[in-house]
Amino acid sequence: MIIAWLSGLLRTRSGRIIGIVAGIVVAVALLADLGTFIQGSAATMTSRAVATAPIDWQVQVLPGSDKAAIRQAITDAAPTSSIFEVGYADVASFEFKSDTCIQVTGAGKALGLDATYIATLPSGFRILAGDTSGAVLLQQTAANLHAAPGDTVVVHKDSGDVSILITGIVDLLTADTIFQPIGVPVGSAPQAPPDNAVIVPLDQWQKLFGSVGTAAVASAHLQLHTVLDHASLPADPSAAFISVTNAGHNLEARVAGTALLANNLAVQLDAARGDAIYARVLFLFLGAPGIVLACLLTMALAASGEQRRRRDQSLLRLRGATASAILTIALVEALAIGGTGALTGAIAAALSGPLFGLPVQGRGRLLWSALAIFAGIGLAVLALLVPSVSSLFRQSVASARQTLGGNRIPLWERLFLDIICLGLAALVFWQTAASGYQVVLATEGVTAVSIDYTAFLAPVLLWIGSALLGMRIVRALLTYGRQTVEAAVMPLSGALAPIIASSLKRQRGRLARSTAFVALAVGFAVSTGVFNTTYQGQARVDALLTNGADVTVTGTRLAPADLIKDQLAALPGVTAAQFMQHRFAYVGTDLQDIYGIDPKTIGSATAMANAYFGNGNAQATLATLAATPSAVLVSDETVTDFQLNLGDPINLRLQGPDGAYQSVPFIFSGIVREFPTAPRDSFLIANASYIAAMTGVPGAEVGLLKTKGDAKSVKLAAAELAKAYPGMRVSELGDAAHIIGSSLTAIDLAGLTSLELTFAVILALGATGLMLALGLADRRRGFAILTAIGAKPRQVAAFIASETAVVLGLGTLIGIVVGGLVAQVLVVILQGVFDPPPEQLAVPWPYLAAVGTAILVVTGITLANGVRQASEKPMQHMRELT
Amino acid sequence: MSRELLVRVENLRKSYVANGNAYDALRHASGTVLAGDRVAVVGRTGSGKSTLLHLLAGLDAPSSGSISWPGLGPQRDLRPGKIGVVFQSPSLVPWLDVTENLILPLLLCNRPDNVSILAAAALDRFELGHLATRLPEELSGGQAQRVSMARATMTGPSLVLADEPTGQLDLETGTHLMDALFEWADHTGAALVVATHDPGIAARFTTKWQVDQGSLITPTELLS
Repeated sequence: MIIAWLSGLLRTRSGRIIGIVAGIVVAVALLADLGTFIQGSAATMTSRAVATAPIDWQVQVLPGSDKAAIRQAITDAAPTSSIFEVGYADVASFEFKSDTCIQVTGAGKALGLDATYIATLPSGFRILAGDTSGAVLLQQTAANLHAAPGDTVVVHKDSGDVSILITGIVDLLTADTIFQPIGVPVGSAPQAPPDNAVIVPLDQWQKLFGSVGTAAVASAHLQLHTVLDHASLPADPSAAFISVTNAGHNLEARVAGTALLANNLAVQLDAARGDAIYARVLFLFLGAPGIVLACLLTMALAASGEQRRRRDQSLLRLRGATASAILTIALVEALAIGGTGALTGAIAAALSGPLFGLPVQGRGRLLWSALAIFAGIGLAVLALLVPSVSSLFRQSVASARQTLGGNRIPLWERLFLDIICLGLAALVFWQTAASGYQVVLATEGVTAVSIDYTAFLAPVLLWIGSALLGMRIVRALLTYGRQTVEAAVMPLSGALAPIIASSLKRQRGRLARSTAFVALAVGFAVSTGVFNTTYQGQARVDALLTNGADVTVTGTRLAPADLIKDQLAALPGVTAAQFMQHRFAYVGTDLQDIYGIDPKTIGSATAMANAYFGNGNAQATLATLAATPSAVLVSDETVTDFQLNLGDPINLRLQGPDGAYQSVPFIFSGIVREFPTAPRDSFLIANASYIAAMTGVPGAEVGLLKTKGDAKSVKLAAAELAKAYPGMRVSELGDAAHIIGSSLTAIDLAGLTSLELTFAVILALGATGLMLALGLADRRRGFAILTAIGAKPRQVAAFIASETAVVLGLGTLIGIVVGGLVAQVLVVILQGVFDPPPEQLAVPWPYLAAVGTAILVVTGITLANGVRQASEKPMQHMRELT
Repeated sequence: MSRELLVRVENLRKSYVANGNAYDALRHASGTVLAGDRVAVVGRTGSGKSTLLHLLAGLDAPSSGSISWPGLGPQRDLRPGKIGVVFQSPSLVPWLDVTENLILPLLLCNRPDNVSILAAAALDRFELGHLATRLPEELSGGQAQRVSMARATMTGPSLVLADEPTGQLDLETGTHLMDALFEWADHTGAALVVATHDPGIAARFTTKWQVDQGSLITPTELLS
């Protein structure tokens, strides 16, 4: 009987079954793809974090300790791939005597590196001149000494002076990490790396400073730089962070009193785990509504066949089928439909994965596909079996005959649930916006991560409240606004307008539900599109912030970028060129980056966002800077640390022409939080002309180029100009996006974006096309009657088009409003994702126009098909559908 | 005085295909309907009565033979202005109430004037006043059939085709309904073609067409 029933269903209800299967396919595919993306992105974040850690562990051997025992402890604590011995020694000064003069630096460091160190960790070094076969000078030191490869430099140290032959000059990119103090309390102010340093081969270093492995040498110590076995790390950043942190703790316990650990890898993973959680939060905020919508759509599609199901069940009961037999049939039907839809959805997701940058196979894909298949079957059971059970045990003869139904005022409407939801959403949102808190709180160094789930309430309540309010509006309009509706449908229906208005009023329950679906689907497309476009825009701003401009030329003190400013400005494709100083200044004992700019013109070459400045007003801040030559903008942290008030005088120490630091008076004029090319911690912004005048060093080290068209070709041309100047580098925006590893906006979410946008379109088309088609199919007999009594196709079309216009028009209108509101709420709640936060929403007009066009095309096809079906063979439809 | 020829059918055949086999639902059907005719179409269930009525109403196309409506105009304009149809199965538009179902044919003919008055008259004629605001789902089968009958007369058609109009009614109600229909037809001069099983109803018609296993036997043939 079951097989006969199923084959009968396939023959007579194929359209509806295909609709339900399609709904399950969409829900399952969306869940499988989103889950795979989240899992994959977590692994990417981990590998990026690992790649950006300069040295995983720095283990400082304390004086008198046994380095072999410590080395053993390291390998016992965690799987390692290599351990390097690195010698550190303080030197009093470096001296270089040229033919014309003698240059002497301040105190510095001498680093002893294993011969394989640079080859194993090449990303930390940039060779500027010569090679690394012997002693190499750091770029700044070489500049201070005016020394070059082949020169001999004297190292003044406690135990006597030695001369070393310089073979190369390098830029030590990881100087902050390599020279970091180990064993200082967490949260201590970072210490600037030494201005002067030389790197020598370890054996030479040992000859210069003696063996420090077993004996105490006051001015020298040994570190063991460890590269861990990354293959054994968990893919998830949080798990990887916990694993590396715990391994670090294990090592600390083993070497207590003999060595100190700087767990650099844990620090990098610490930043990434927050981003990974944000990615999950994004999944919940952006993906979950789509999945819920697909589920609701499936259930609505199933519910649209409810009348016929009731009739079928009545027939079965009349013919003696027991309740359990009917339920068995319903269960088998649900499992067959659910299984087909779920499997198809999982396969569709896997096959379409590459379109969104997702893998076709793999552990993550398998896991999420299995999960999605179970969810899809569950959805089918919920959509098909539960209504069967309900109608089997609660249905009355009268209710079985009802075809309109659902026109009573629903309970939620009487309880004003929509208004309550919207009110609560506004309240939660207001609290969120006012307090400026972060949804994800991953405190540095603490393994526990907190997610504020109450933040989810605002968009969830907004979605629910808006959908219900949309239904209330439609019901109210069709019930009480008959004249308005009549006037609105008059152009489509002519003399039939009054009767069509009545017809719409009678069907207000169904039309309100359909409108709500269209509103939700359009709202999802709008919110996803707007959020993603805003996000992409901010990712560019973030990259711009990191790189400085479309193309940035970074020179040195000796070879500032403005040496070639005229040539750079004249390059084809360059629309604006601005040059700014990048120096260092002491605020008290704290060394900070200082940028000297021309506040009147800097904005022509790079974005000056309001969010960069403490008062949220870029224009006013730059005007203040321009009006006061000695004005300086400082970071929040500096204001707090030095208890500064606006207008306070502040003396900074900057390098003069001879390299010596001299005091320069400034006036504290404002707060700066971010600035192109500036570091994330404390820095200063001042007038370039003032700095030049007060220090006697006029050069501007950094050139910011705004380009039109292809920035890469401008970069190549600029690099050609820059190659004549040692140390001058050129980078473009695209480079920055790859460099920023720890920021979520830099992680390639293009796959997620295209995935969401694609599914938003599918859902919008499904909600309009499928709902409309099934709505028409439900009432095909009514339309056949219209044709049978004499309605012309255009008159049947007037009925169908009028209700389509109500559903589509009101649904789209409500959807646009809801989508815009949800996007705004998401942007505010997910502030942590944006760096800096966006000043306004970006609307993807082409995408929205494409969605609108697709909806109109699908609606037009559905409508034409509905009219054709109703107008052809009306008697056959009347017979079949009785 | 000669009466106007409303419908002429000549050697009509209507075939259907079911389970891969073609069969004739109606064959060799010829006849005419004149203005004011009272024709009862009788025959056993499945004999082809409904098929004949659908062809006469222009709802279906014949497989062969010809059908024309000389007194009614082109086929596309037959319903609901010139021919009113009462179907065997429930045929009220579900989302319109009784009054709206009644005025629907007038609006389909683009005759929106006085629709309420005309609907009230029809309700009165067929004793449906108490059902005026009911929805089809709130009516019994018999009540729905009476509304269908009333609707068929709304545009003042020259021909009313009714398929088993009293099939779901008790004898007394059926008789009342047919009384009302005859009264309306006598008043307007419309022709009636009614398919029925009920010999009592059939006896009230001046002409009988017998349909037997798809073959139509008209009075001329019956006599011969």
